[in-house]
Amino acid sequence: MGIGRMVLVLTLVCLISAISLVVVDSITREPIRIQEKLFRLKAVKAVLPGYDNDPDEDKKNIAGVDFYIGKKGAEIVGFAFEVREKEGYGGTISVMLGVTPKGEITGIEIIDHKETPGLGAKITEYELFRRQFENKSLLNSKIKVIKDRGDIEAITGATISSRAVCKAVSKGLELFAKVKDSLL
Amino acid sequence: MARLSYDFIKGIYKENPVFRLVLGMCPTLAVTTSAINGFAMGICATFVLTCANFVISSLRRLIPEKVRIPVFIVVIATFVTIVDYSMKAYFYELHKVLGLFIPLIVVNCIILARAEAFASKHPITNSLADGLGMGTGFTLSLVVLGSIREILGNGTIFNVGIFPDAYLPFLVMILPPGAFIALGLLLGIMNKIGERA
Repeated sequence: MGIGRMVLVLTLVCLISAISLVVVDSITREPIRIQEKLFRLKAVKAVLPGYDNDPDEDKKNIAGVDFYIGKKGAEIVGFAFEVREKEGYGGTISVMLGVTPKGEITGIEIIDHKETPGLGAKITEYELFRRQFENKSLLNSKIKVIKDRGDIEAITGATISSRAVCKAVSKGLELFAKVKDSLL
Repeated sequence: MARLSYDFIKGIYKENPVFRLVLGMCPTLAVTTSAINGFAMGICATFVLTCANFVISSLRRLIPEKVRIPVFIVVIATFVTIVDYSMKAYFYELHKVLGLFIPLIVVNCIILARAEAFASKHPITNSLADGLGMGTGFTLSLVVLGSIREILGNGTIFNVGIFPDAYLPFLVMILPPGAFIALGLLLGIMNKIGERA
């Protein structure tokens, strides 16, 4: 069995594999892009309060962050934007945060996380945990878990994940306070 | 024909990849935090296993002995990537949960082991039966393990609560140590049953 035949077979196998992957990629690329966009927009829509525009049309990019703007008529009712926190239990947690122009939270959604399934991952499943953030702002609450003398009740067995969500939210509020003037 | 059905059935109990051959422990331990995760992982692995067995069996006379392992890996990796992309495109929510584990199917030794020990030595139909059987056995094992861990660790099965609210979930069962404990006990029980038979 010559070395030539080995090279030939391996090359052919890789070539066929590469071609089929190119085909699969070209078929799935568009659906994947649409899914990702839909998923983000779903989160945007969940966290913004009563609006009647298309937040995807009215968005501003400031300091590398997309701010989706919710409007009712001409009045701005809220902003939605994504914040990331690296110190989750399993890695980065991305949170879609909705705030009123005054800086009060209207809702949060977890977009992406690598927390333990069935445990830390409950941050996406437990609506009550996320509802706690509503109406809170930097002025009226401490966005920390109760263990850290804050106002948020952590999920049982998932303190680190809950803490990371709190961190992400307060970072987001701070960012919003900073860029607020250029948004309004 | 009898041979064909044997090739299918052996994967479910007699040569069950998880409880008998003790192969593919990485995904077995990692994804079985709930029954549904185990099921989805099992289905993906079954698809890759059956397709890889088919391709490798049909190429078995053409692949030179010395490069067979690289060829197997390329074939397996190709199918895994196809699963990964299609899942992301058409089952986005599920991909969010399992996405981390899909690329791991490439190094699932059940698949390489079946390619090496079975598909490269047997005709196409038998290899297909073997792939489907092994996949079914793998899926069943993951569902059993996932169910036990979900029931004890979260008080639910397939996300449906089965205990009264007063039940305090045994959290450790969902964490990595729970995977080892549950798998160890199941392996022990299976061995005991096997001894008697």
